[in-house]
Amino acid sequence: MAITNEDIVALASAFHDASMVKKSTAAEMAEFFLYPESRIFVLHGGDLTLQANYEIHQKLVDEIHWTVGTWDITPLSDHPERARAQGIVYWQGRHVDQADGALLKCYVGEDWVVERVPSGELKFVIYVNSFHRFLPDAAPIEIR
Amino acid sequence: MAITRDDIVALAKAYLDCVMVRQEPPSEQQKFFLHQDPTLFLLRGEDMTLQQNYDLHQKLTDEEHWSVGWDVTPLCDKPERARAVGAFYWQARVRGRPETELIKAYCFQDWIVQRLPSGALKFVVYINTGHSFLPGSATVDI
Repeated sequence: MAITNEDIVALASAFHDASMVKKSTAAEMAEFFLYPESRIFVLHGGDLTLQANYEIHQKLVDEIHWTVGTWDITPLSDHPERARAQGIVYWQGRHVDQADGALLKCYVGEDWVVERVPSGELKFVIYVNSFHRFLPDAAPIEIR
Repeated sequence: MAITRDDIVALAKAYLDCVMVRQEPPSEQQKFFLHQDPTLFLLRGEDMTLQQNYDLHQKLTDEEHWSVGWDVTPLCDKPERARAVGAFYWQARVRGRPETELIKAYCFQDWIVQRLPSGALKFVVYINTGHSFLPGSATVDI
């Protein structure tokens, strides 16, 4: 069963719903990863543990996200079934203490290696943020 | 101080000497990495912990390695990071096998490295994107 664009869009939606909308804990986010002590590698510095990612999203409300365009998916192997998925996610939110404040608006570059486990679920093997591009009128936020 | 190709060749030599030549334990390999308990990602599966990498090399002897070439792309200044994509040649023999039965492979790498305030380079992400065994190479299960 090949890993498709629809699979990756669904994974992106599920993970970002968990982290941004449901404000899931680090333990809950870890369920999306193959390895329990995973990190989000931010290429330009400030890699995030899942706990650090949780804490960032605790400071934000009104978060929304969507996939921009299609993902570039490169099949890697069949046993285990793996693919590299490169794409962009739009991310918007608001600082929790600035209810009427400016919106954080950002394009996030994603570069993932994913694996389909025997249950059929996709898990992140490597999760890299290759860039954050904030829109000109976006509220600032430090990704640390 | 930009991260140069020479820096990456030196890092590759130091790390691979540790792993292959001196066959040092995971605690010594760990010193080359920014984060605790890193995973060596093999892009097509069979990712390894440092312990598993140590166990693999315990089965081998007469190991040699050298860099084949690296493309280094600067990523950021604070912290100072670069992406290094390249390959090294790896030669080894499974312990107990005849001296003529050598493993010979090109190992392709995709690394993110970071320079610490001390000046030392550390691996942030270590990805082995593939192994290409040369014709006539002995086999080994990675």
